[in-house]
This record gives sequence, C-alpha cells and structure tokens, in this order.
Amino acid sequence: MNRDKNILALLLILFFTGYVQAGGKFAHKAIDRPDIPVDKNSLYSTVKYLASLNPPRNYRNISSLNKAAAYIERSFRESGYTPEIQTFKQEFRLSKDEFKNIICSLGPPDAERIIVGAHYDVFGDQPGADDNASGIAGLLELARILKIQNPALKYRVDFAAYSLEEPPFFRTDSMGSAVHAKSLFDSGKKIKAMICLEMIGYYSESRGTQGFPMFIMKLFYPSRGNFIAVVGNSGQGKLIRQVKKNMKTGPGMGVESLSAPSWLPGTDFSDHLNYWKYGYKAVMVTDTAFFRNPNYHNSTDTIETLNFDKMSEVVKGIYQAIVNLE
Amino acid sequence: MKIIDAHMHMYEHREKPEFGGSGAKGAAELMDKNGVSKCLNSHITALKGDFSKGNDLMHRAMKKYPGKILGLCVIDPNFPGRIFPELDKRMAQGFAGVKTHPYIHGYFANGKNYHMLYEYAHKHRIFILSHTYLNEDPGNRFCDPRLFGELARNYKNARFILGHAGGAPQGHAECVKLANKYDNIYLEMCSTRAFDPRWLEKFVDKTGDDKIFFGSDAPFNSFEAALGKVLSARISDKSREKILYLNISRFLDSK
Repeated sequence: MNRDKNILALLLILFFTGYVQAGGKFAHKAIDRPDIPVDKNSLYSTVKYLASLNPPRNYRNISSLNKAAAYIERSFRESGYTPEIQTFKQEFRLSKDEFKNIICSLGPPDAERIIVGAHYDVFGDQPGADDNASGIAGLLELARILKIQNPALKYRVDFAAYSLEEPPFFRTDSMGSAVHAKSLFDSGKKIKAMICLEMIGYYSESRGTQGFPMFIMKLFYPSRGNFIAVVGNSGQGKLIRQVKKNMKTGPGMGVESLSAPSWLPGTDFSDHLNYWKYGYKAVMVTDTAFFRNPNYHNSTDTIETLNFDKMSEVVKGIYQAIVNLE
Repeated sequence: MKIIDAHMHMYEHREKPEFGGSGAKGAAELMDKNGVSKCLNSHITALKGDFSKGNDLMHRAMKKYPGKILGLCVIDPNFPGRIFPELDKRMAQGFAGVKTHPYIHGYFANGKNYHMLYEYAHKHRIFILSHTYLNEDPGNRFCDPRLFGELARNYKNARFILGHAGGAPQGHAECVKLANKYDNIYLEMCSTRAFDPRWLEKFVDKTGDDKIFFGSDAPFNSFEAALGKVLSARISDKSREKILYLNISRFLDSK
C-alpha cells in the first residue's frame, strides 16, 4: 500500500510539473473537416476476414499470417499502391518461418516521413477483432482514402502492417515494428512522427466502463469508455496535442490524450515503443485496450463487439492528423 | 529452443478453451504447440477438489505421456491422516515431486500438518513446488514466501521451488533474499504480471541465473505471455537458455 501511495504522490508531482499530461479536462474544440469518405463496410470486411482466419494468425500458424499479409498487400494494391514486403526471421529459434511487414507510401518521396502502423498478428488462438484487426482495417482504409482524396501532403506517409507484435515477441527485437524502425534508423531516414493504431474498435456508453492504470486518472478522464485516446511518451506533448486536435470529430467521438513516462502501465503497449528506441516521436491511437475492453486477449474478442461508426470517426480523425501535421 | 515448463496444470474440462490444455491429451497438445519438451504438472482437481482423486488423474496422464508430463503430487494439509499414505503411494508411482497450495487450502505454509510433508521430503530428498504470493491480499498470508526461510533451514534435504516467486513486487523482493540465503530455495517465475520482464531481470541481477525456472501456469495463464517475459528480458542468451531449460533439467537430474 505504501508503494501505491508513493506512486500516487509521484504521479501528482509529475502531473503538476507537466511531466505527465492528461487531456481530459482540456479538450480542444472540434475543427472543421471536409467530407472524408470512410467506407464502414470496408472496415467491417477487413475485420471479418482477419478475425475469421483459422487457425488464428499467430506466430505458430505461418499459413494464416501469410493469408493476412496477402490480404493486406492486395488491399494496398487495389488502392493504387505498390507495396513492399520486408521479410525477417525471429531470433529465438522458435520457428524457421519468415515473417512479413507490408509497407506502402504516399506523398513526396524524399520528404520527412509519417509512419502509420498497425500489427496484424494475434495473441494466442483468439480471433483478435479489436486486437488488432481493427487497427489494420483503419490502416487500409486510411491508405485508400488518402489515395483517393489526394490531399497536398507536406510529409511522405508510410503505411506499415507489422507481424509479431504479440507475446512472446512483444518487447523483443523480433517484433516486426522493431525490424522496421531499425531499418529506418540504419538507413538514416528522417521521421516526423509515428502513429500506431492499436485497437480502435471497442466503445461503451455505460458509466464505469473505462479503467485506468492509476486511480488518480479517474479525476481527469471520463468514466464512460466512449472515446479514443492518443497516448505518447513524456516530452512528446506537441505531437500528441497536434494529433488530438486534428482528431477531434463531431459530437459522437471524444478524443482524450495522455503524455506519460513509459513506465506507466499500458503507455508503451504496442509497436510505437520501437520507434521511441531510436528517438523518433511516436504516439499510439487506441481504445485503451484492456483498460476498457473486457474481451482483450480472449476468445470473445469478436467482430460483434466492435462499433464501426466510431471506428469510421477515428479513421477520419487520423486522416486529418496526417494531412494537417505541422 | 528447448523449453521445460516447471509450472503447468491440467483440467478435465476446458475452463480456458482459448488456451487449450484440457486433460492429458490437451496438456500434451499445448506442450507440442509451444515447443515444450517436459512439464511439471499438477491437476486442478487435486488442488481444488479431492487431492487423491486429482492425483489419480495425474497418474493416468503420466502413464499416457511418460517422460513428458512429470506429475506433481498435490498434498492437502487439511487431511493429515492421508498425507503419508498419499506420499508413499505417489512416490512409488513415479511422481516427480509435490505441489502445495497454501492459499487454496487455507493453511499456512509453515503450519503443523505441512511439517509432515516437509519431514518426508527431507528424508527422501523430494522437491516441493509451492504457490507463493505476497501483496495486500490477506489471503496471501498463508503463502507468504517469508514462511519458507525457516523451512529451508530446518529441512535441508528438501528442495523448495517458490511458485510465482512471490507473485507481486513485495513477494518478489522477499524471494530474492531467500534464494540468496538458502541453497535449497529456487524461484519459478510465472505470475500474473504479464508482459513485464523487469522482475525477471532483477532476479537474474540479484540472484544469478542458476536458480530460476521458467513456468507458465498454463492453461490457467497464457504460455505466450510467460515465454514473452523471458524472451524480452534484457538478459544474456545463456541466461535465457538456463532459465528455459538447463536449470530445471539439472535440478530434475539431481537429488
């Protein structure tokens, strides 16, 4: 108990000194946005396909991972891209299989890059509709509508679908995003920002459905799990604020933000952590995973539990963030 | 990569269908799927129901998968009259060691009836995998790792594997002290602190890498999450190999 009190005191100090920044009470107003033609059916089709792959798309089932990769590659091609496949092997002799990141790009080729990434593998033998078929659905739809809308882009945008985010590879150099981040760093690429889509489909309008890593956060954030969160590391407040501001949508979609040290549980729970390692600015856009979704890493993480209207709003918001990032 | 899982369980019904592991066949399939060559396994029926009946089920599993499923004989201290007969029977049947769960059985790990088991283990050089946990939950006073210091000192020939290595940071810290102080105390690392390898790194840093065993608690907890902690920990590949395989392999070979 003393330890918890100490952490609480530390968090309060950090909060009031600006090291931890909550966004709940300081929300930006919604900005005007053009009509962005997000196709809800397309989001649904992608989640349905990935979540129904059998056996599930985990590292033991390379055939399913390859089917997922082929689906993503095909979708990028249908949107008018020429995707690249980045292949790699995991380093622990758990299998001899070759794993794949699928990457495609838009915008000025030599400009600084915005990486938009999501993982397509799944934890254990679960369907993984929210975790993370929803993230991949958002990624593919973003790529599609950006190509169609063809807005003036200041930065090059790389869309990356990763393999091996889930345990037992999480936090290892065998994560697909670790391979990708390292390749960017080794080749001296300049990265403006990385935006990680980690579970964007689960929402609830009931009170008390939103959990938090620290009790004190209840004072600053809604108790209803009906918002999308932008989460980043301490010192990356500017990026977080920009993404949040641009993601603010209509009345049906709240956006909250958190800038916190990576030791706060959940802050670094996805692919963005690998970009932090190389000093790149990176944020996670998430429905807050297990802090809200009771189906997290369970067989009940199914398509029926997702809200595709909200997902569409999230995609629109990220579109705005990409286009308007300063 | 060779893996021996020092902490698995077996069910007769699929309480965790997403993880598999029901019955002997399910346990073997789970092991094969995850590349586990051997496991120390105790039956949930023995832990939560009649321990003799559960041990019978485990014996059947051992016979079906000899050398692969290494059964642990569960002892319920609430039935002192059955402890010695059960131990005699199960050791004769080839059980690898003993499993205790002071929390489930509501009995202090250093309680009187458990000393019958410890005497037996000392005399026959048997190892005991005990559930240990220490946090604010008052129920965990039964399985407080600090209770094992005196036991290790008094029963030198018995070997104690502290399951979950204390389970929470407070318990982890106590287990580190015990493992450093007593030669016959070992740490098994499965816990509910999924995805966080930092305590494993501390174990290696503070106790060395010789007395730590990999365990998953599967199918009750996720094998992938447990393995992930070992793979993602900032430890040497040699330490990883020792934790996943070599330490428990040597432990089982020695008496």
